[in-house]
Amino acid sequence: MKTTKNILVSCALLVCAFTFTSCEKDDDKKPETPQAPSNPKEVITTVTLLMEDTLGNLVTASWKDADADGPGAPVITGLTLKAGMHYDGAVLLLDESKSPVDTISNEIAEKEAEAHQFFYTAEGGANSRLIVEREDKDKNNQPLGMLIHVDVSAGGSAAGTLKVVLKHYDGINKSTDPAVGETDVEAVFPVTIQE
Amino acid sequence: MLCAGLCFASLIKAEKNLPKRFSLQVLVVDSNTQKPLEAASITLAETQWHAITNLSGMVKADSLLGGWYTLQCSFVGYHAFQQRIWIESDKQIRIELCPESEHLHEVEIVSHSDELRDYTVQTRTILSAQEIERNRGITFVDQLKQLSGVTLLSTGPAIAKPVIRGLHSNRLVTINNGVRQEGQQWGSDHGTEIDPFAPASIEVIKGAASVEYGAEAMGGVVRINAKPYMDVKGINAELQLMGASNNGMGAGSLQMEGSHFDRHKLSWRAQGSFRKAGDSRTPEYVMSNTGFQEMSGQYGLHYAYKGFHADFSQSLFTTEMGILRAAHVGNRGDLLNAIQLGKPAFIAPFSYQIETPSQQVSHLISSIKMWYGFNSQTKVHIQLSRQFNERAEYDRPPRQSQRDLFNTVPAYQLLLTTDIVEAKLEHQLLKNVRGVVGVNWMNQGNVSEGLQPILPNYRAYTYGIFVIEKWQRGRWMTELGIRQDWRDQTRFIYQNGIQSNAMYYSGLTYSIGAAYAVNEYLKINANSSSAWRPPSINELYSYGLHGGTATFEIGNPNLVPERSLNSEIGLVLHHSKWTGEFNLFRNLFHNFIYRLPNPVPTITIRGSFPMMNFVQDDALLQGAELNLTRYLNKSFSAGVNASYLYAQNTSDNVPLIFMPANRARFTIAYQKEAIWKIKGVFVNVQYNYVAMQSRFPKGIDIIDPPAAYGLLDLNAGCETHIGKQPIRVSMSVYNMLSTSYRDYLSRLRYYTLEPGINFLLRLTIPITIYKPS
Repeated sequence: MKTTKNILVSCALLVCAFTFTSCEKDDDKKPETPQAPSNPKEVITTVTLLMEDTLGNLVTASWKDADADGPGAPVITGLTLKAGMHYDGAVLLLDESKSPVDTISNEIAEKEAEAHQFFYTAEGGANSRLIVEREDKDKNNQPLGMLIHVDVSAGGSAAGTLKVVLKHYDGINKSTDPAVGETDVEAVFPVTIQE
Repeated sequence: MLCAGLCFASLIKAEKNLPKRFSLQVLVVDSNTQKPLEAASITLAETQWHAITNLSGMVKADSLLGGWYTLQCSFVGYHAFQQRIWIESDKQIRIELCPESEHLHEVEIVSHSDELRDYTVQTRTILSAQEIERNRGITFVDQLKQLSGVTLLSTGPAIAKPVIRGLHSNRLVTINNGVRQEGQQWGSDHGTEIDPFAPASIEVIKGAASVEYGAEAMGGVVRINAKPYMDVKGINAELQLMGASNNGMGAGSLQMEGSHFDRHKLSWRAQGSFRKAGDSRTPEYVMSNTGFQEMSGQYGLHYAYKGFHADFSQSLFTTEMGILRAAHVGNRGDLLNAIQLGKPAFIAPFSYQIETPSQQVSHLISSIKMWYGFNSQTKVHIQLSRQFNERAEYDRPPRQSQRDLFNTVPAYQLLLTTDIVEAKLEHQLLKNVRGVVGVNWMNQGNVSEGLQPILPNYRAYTYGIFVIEKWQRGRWMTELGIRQDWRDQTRFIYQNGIQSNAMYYSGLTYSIGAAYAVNEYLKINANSSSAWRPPSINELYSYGLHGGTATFEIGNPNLVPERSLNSEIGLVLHHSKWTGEFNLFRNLFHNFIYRLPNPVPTITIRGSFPMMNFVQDDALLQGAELNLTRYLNKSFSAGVNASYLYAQNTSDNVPLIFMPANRARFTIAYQKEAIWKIKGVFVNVQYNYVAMQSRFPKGIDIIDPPAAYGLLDLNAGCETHIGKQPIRVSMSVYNMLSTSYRDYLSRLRYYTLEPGINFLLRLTIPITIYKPS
């Protein structure tokens, strides 16, 4: 009898200890009640190119991917430029998943120009026809590329692409080599050159 | 151990003070009746020592020098027994002799062990406390590399998990001190969350062990056994210190244990440890942000009265680890640039600082085990456990303005709570038939949070019931096991309100095996088992970006359970001059679930990203393992250890991706019981050769597997005294020649070389605090 009692008492003690130690996290959230996603993280959903020709006409193009890094397909509106025309342009980065829409490019220009750089590459039929120059510099006198000047050479109609790349330099120096740095944006715009 | 029969024996040492000479106490019992055998003959082949057991089956040898001995035991009417043993402390050994009339010479050497004896006819290997102490490396799983057929999947020097015969993650079960460890096993960058100082012995089962351990054990089991509770009265402590040159690691562990009272025996143990390391170094540069910081603690209480035992234990493991800074890229083009560059894009001077990207993990396990032996054949076990696994992964912000957010809110955070209840009954049905019947229940819930949770919330209930019976007669042993499992799992997401998807799976597992002892030295075993595994939550529903490999991983909700048919045959040799093992295995899968990069990248605003999809195909994994050691004389031995794996997707007839390359290891070892005043001297040199993985599906991964490499390692150690205080010292030099290499199963191979030379020094100081006279 005494043995049984001893065994029972020790079991009871152990069970108490166990219950006590395992209760501490019971108040936590339950798997059955997921929270509505609240995303404080900024994502770039949209790249917009705004160009103004020497006559004051505005041309825009946009590259929009609502699910950012996700598998959903982007919606792209190409750029139509005139042969022999000169344009002054700017690139705009937006987070349209937020309301109101967050203009991320403003933040980069104001606070983080030293850690970012835009690159522009004309490809295909636009390769020999477009000259893109980056107009703005950061505090260290390094190119930023948020403001651009585009010369379209005279000639016939052509079709190609303009690739806009935003590189981010995290702890490393800005480089003229577009292979250096992490890619934040890589948007390829179809370009149509009209005679 | 029943299965392993004459050959494998767990040498669990009851370590005590280290006098200059050691004593060996042997208890000989009848394996059936467990009654002591009087007048059994015991010899130690290397000495002239010979003795006969007394009335209580005991015999004691005093003043033995440390080192290897061949222990032989014989008794009229019983199978003789022979085993090589290593003496480095006073040792108590129990030998169970089997009557010749009944069954196979089945012998066990057991000390005080709380664990159930295992019931499978399978290939299993045990790393003893001594082997663990001498090979303790940077992570817990580094020790497992010594075993043939086991390789590592790593994400930098601090994060690694075992791969057994090509299978890992959700297909392996880790048993931590009797409790099935439930963490985020699915990710290749999720290491095994075990304190390298905690295991006293590690047991690895290669091949399906699902009947006993449940559906996820289809690839194998890694069992980590804590130190057995002290059997003799007193209080002991052990201090272990360790340093590593490559990453400036400092680590220490203090363990205390005690045992009190005679009739109501109360034993306890407690252990605390820390490890801190900075960046690892390749032969050419620093791997910036690969440091880690780890704190662990555990304690256990054990009560025994006659046949009743109760055990309560808790263990906590916490770690914070950096992930190589340069392994964070924007898109596929960046990854190609990183490969072209050939070294990390970000290299800073050596530092202990951990920055983002980083991981923080904590794992708390509480368990109660109780068992009662009605007699030597009938024993009932009950075990309850609860564990919390919390994993937070921090990412780097794309813009400085987001830094505070990214440093405080993880990219994703998973809180996994698992409750397990298990009950087992060991029994003897007939004279030659023994077995175990068991049930288990598991309730698991996951809560996901963070900036971009990769897994949804879920709740999963698993129920299982199994029976394993073993028949033994003469030189034969056969075993049959069967198990049924049910899983009920529900995903919960928030999409215009709470949405749930319930999935229900059930499946049958069975195994059949046999072992035959050809003679005293050679045993053959063969087994075949069919196992299944339901698709796991990540395979069904993961959705998110992996910055390190520039891939976007998407689960596949249409996956169905996979099934395997695993057959193997093994030879085990245990001779005083030769020891070894040879295994052949063939594992056929139907609907094998795996990750496959989609060769057509998806276009995102960051450029092109490869998608990682989960697909199912039929597959074949087959191979061979060889392990052979020749004892040239008392001091020298030479060994080879090789593994070969052929893994094929048989649906499309192409090789399976990300499978470990074939490899071999050659060892020359020297051991001497004493050189002047220094005892237990050992030195060994190993050459590890890893071939290039030539079998991979072409054009799927962004680069081909890296070239073959060979590494030279050195291990050495001894025991000595400082004053009266015994002390064990060992050192290792890994990658002695500082060879530059990359490994196919390292996720960082795109960015960096693996670490260069690493010099490790280990000190173990056993302390006797109290010893009753």
